Amino acid sequence: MTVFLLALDLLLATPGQPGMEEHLAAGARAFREGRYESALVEFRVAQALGATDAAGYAAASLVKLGRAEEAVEAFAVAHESSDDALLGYYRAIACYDARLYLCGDRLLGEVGERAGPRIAEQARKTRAAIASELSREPSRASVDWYLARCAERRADGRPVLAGAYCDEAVALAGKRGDRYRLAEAAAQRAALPAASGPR
Amino acid sequence: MPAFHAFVLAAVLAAGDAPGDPAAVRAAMREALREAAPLPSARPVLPEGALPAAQMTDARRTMKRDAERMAIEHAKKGASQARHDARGEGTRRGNADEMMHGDREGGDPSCDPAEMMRSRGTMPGGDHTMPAPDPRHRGM
Repeated sequence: MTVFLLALDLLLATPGQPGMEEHLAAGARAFREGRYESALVEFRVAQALGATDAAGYAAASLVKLGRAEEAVEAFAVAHESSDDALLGYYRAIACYDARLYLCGDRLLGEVGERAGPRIAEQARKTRAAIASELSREPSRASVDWYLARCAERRADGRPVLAGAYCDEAVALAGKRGDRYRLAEAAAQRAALPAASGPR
Repeated sequence: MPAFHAFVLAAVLAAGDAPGDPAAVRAAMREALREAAPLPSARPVLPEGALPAAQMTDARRTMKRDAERMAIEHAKKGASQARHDARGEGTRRGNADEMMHGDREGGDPSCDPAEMMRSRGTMPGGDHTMPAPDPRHRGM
């Protein structure tokens, strides 16, 4: 009987939560097959069961689904992805697609060659395009837009996004000779939680 | 011996439940991430103001305004012509009342600005904003 119980223990003693790895594997399979909605669900379940790396994969799935703002939020809590160049690239694209160009540029700068030559080349091209757009002084209307978006997202109860838009507003206002609404943007930013992960 | 069987059974069941080597799953996922690495959605452009989706863009508003102006100009020309014709007719008949009637109702219905805009799909609620280059060429 003792031996039987020992065997039962062995059967149940799978590493981590039962099912966690199955969901992670199912998510990876769906992602590989381009079924990003399914991948997102599987990674979310795996994340809930304790798979720490699933959060970054879920965020990457959101990028593939074109849900850039949600991806920016998801990456902010995916601490495991902070030193991963490949996920860093996905995070940069999430910022870029959400029009958080300075955030995207910063993250692309950290990708370097670690994500492979093809992605490194794409990162260089994207940074060059951002640099070209930001080479002239940002208009007042742009600063207004980012501040308005910051206020909207804060009102929606999305402080991470609000903070990201306020960060852009602060940086863009700082690029203007007249520092248009810079103090206001900085004050709004200070009232929001600090961003997590690489900034 | 039964204990040994139980042990083997447990080991087999545990192996059957395993989803695969976690390291292999992660390696496959990384390869998938690399292969599916997205490109930026569009050229970067700093936003300078957003319109609600239902609101017209400046371009659409301009096209609509142009269509309205063309319809009004065309209607004016048509009305002038109709008035001229009606006046001739009225003079011939010596009937001023008929002349007025002809001005309002005897003219070409296509001269009515509202009719012009309706036919061009530019009345409120209409979705077409580009006037046909030449009404004669509409349809077959």
